[in-house]
Amino acid sequence: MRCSRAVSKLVVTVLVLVVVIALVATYYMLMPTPTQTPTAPPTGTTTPQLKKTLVIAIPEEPMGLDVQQVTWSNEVHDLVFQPLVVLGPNMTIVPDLALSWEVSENGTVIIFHLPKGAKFSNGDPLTAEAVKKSIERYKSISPYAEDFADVVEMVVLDTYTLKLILDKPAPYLWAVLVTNYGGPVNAKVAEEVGNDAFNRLPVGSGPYKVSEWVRGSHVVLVRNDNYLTNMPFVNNKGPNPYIDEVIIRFIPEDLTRIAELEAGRVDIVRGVPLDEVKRLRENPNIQLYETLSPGIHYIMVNVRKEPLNDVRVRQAIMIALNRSEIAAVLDNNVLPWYSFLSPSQICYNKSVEDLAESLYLNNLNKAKELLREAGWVDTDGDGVVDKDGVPLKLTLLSPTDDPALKKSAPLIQAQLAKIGIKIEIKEYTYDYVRDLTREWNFELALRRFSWADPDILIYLVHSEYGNYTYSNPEVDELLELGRSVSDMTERTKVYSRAQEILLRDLPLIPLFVLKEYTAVSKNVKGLIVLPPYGTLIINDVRVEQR
Amino acid sequence: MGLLTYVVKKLLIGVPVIFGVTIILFYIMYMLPGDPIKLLLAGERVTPAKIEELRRAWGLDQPVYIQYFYWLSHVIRGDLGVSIVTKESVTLLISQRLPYTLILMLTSTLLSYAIGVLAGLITALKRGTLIDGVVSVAGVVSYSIPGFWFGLMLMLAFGYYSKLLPISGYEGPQSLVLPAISLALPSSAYVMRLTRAEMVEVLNEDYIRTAWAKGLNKKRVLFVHALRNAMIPVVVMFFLDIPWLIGGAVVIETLFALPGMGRLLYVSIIRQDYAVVQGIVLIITVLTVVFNTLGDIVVAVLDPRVRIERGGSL
Repeated sequence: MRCSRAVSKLVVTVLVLVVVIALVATYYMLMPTPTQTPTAPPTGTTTPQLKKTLVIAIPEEPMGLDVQQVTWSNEVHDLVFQPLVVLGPNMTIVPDLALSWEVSENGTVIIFHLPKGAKFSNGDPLTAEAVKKSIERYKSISPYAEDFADVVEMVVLDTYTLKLILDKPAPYLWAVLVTNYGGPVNAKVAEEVGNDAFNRLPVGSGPYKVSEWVRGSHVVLVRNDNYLTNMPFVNNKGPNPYIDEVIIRFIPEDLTRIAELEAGRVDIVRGVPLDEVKRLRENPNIQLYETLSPGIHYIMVNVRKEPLNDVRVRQAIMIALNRSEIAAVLDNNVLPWYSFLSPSQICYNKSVEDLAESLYLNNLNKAKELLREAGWVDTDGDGVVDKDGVPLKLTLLSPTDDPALKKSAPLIQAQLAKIGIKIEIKEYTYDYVRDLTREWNFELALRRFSWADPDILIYLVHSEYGNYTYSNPEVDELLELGRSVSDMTERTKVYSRAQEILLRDLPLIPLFVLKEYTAVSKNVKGLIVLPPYGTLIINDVRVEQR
Repeated sequence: MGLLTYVVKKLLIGVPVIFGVTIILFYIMYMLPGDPIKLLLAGERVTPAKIEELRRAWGLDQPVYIQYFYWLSHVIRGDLGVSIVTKESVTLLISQRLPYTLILMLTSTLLSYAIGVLAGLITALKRGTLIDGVVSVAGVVSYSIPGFWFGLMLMLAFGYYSKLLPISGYEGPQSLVLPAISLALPSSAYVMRLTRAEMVEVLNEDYIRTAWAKGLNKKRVLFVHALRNAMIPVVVMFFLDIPWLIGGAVVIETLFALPGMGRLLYVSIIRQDYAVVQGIVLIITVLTVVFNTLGDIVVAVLDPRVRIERGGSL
């Protein structure tokens, strides 16, 4: 008896010890020593008031760092890669890496001149040959390989001159070239180390290079001393002497991200939640940068389904919506919108938006009139219009993970109730809503798109490229034409015409253009948040010590 | 000896459990609406042909049971597969994240049992007094507080205002303090209630009355005779609790931006990264089986009756 108790005591003690030792051992053996603290350590030897580290907090970790292998790019890619050209502040194309470029009259030849002595961050020469290799790699491995489908041949004219030969004019190609997707990657290194390793530690020519990627936590970028740019709107065209290191932290929770900024442990926050904008605006230590989203938030309509196949019903919905009311509910973090291209998109034409507004400005009587014409009247007095005894009930798919759309859904429901349309809201994730619309398994769905080139419309409403229910040969033709017209004025005309038809047919019902915010500590000076994607340009950034 | 056979049997039962869980999970992931390739190619600039091509490349066009056996044959060889999203080895992805979660789980469990047992004993021994009332109410409150909200409050108090501890991210052991407390507090209330109930029950037993009657001193009666028996269910709960904490870790790791496995699980489910989800659930299942067995062993040691009864019936 006594003996067995002693044994059990021993066993329990041993077990407890094992747990404790395991705890301590796991800790010291497995935990990486935090050499790189995610917060900015106050350094700065030469200029004591300046912080040498810039800390940026973003919501989501990138899936890979090689811009040619990812399906969505983010701030890390923006700093590691450098496009040949960029969209300047006034939506015109200006140089970044390239010194200059020429486009042949018929639009099928583009010649890029690279600066002499350009280098990748690892010191390899960034020549015409390297750019050619990079584009070839994009065409073979990127999920967006189609982007360069029209580039049929690339000729290296001399060390620093590259000629692209296209089979037809492809103005939409510039929309890719101006993003980080268009930035040359060091394909030679990718070949040596393999695509998987390159995806973890890529080599580009952007202002910073990857030093360390701590999964689930942060990426450490250090200055690329070989960096040079020809962007006209920055003062410092070389490596930024004030910022040695950029730490990009992944903080998924909105409130945590904002708390880190307000506590001064983070300098720049992306993905500012709309609910916080008002409060941040009042914080004297924070500056908010605003950009307009290059695209619209809209209701997608299944034009094949009864009763939405009747254009008058769609028009009634369009005109019954009170967009300024929706904007007010969203704290005016959106612009009420009536047409299909946002001001942050190429070929945006204000007169189309004005026309759309004049046609469809909120007018309940007109909306009811349109419904009546279509045969929908409230015969039984229950507040819902009906036709042949069937009440007008529609389901609206609302994405829970898009706060602006999710919040507007109940308002849309209430506004349409005023003209006797009963809306049932179904909430899913955005991705699932998109899947349902691609399968035509919906009536109304809240959606958004974001891409600077108007060519995006082809993926929405073209009867072949688009995955959707709408088909109009005239629109198809215009959108195809828009792909090949190089002259800006002409191209704008094409897309304006397409929009006018879309305004009549309404396969999408525009709602608003979202304002996107970047919240920045007041200590950060010289930051440029470049529309349309809100790219962070930190060439001239200095961070003062708080 | 009996104990050894008992342990071996317990572990053997674990094997079909692990298989069962992976099969069910594989099927659930398969039944989920959407598919990883569509989620991966989230942009509008993607043609349906590209989606089909990638589905084929990843074997997602195969029937679900073929996919399962393919996965299983690799797992048996110690290969958890490759993430569809990052194209990296799942074993690598998990091994980078697991330490954070294990440490968080173990510290918060120890913490919650330390607090819970102590509070339980106090309330049991001071039954019906003001202290009992106050501690019990505090217990109900902390049990009812969502860990998420509590974590935010801790973050505000200790990270934002007083700046004693980091708000989020991993900077060293100090980064685990707030997450561990947020995880520990609600479960400590449960431990407290369990300890209190068991202790109260035991104190009413005949043998305790006998112990008092024998004239033993208070310390001996309470801590040797009563506590030892009252603690058995609590110890079992301790071991059963540990794997469950991973569920809590999903929320807390996301809130505190910790690079742990819980957050990896959450992100992988959202992105429908089958291989990673499967890998993590496999690990959780194994942990559950291991800790359950450990719990059984401890009970068998603490309470020889269990060993005889169960040993016989198994």
